[in-house]
Amino acid sequence: MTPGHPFRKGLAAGIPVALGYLPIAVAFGILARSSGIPPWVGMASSLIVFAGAAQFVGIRMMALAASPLEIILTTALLNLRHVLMASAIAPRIERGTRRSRLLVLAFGLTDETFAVASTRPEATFPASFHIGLNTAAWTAWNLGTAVGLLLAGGLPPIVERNMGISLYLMFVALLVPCTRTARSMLWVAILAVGVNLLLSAIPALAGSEALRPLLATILSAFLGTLLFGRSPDPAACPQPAATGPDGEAAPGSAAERGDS
Amino acid sequence: MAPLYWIAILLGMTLVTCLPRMLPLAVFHHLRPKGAFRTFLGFIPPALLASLTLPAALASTPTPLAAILALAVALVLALLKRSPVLVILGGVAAAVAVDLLR
Repeated sequence: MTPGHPFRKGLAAGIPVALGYLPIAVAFGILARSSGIPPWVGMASSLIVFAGAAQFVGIRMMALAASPLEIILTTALLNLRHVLMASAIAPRIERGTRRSRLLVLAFGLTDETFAVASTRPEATFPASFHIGLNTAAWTAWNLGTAVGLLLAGGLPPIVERNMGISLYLMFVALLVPCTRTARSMLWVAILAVGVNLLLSAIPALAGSEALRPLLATILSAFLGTLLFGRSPDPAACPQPAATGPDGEAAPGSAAERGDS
Repeated sequence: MAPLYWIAILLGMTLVTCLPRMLPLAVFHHLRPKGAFRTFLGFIPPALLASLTLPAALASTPTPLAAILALAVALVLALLKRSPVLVILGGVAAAVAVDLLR
């Protein structure tokens, strides 16, 4: 595999995700261990479910001996937002990609891998780029889970209790370059935060960290469509330089094509 | 609990996690959305990232002040076009510093 192979590019782009995942996965492993469920269940959960928020909630519900149906329905609700993410990322995958590769790609689609892929500068990218990105994220998540299960704590407490913000910081790192160059994206992002805050005033939605952001996203994207009316340009999200550590142009990017 | 209980839960969780990821990807990869729906999908990334970040980030550190400072540092570093790794490390360092000074 050459250094410029899309899979390797994806692995490199996944480094920030992996860094963000590690401490949270360690925390998940510790929680799974301290919840009294068998360690293999915690590990298998990371290996085959691979859905952070749903796993945290699932482990808590298992510890409380909830019924399988309750746990599965809660997981389904928490993962509804992935319908939006998968719908948005699908047209960005190069045409002609085999269905089997799409299924492999879909397995690793999380909030964070979506954040990295959806803010790539190129209009479309190969599935292998996204699979590389997912591989970095999945590996870090499982390594962290294993460390948490085995060591029951691997970071100094002061770092551990502040690492929860790292994933949000990654969202900032990815969102800002888009909003700098596409004003409509900035307004939609601000709108989304405003709608999210307004929805939190509704008692039924106040405590729902799954449903409220989902509704806020749909409403603000809809309002953005009405207000701005033309398609946001995916090329308006310049990727920060260090996510491509070898400094080469990403496949299909304007730089690689020689576009000015 | 019997192993079957755990296996049923794990398989069910895997199914309801994979389906919302796989079905739209399979459908919209072949039926490319156009017009207003394409515009709507284009606005999903900034809307989703922003609504996932705020206000949830404020509860992710021991105090909201630590989160606000971490987000501010991250915002400045991102505006200065620093790498995501540096943005994350800078923000976490700010949160840890606030925690140390408490």
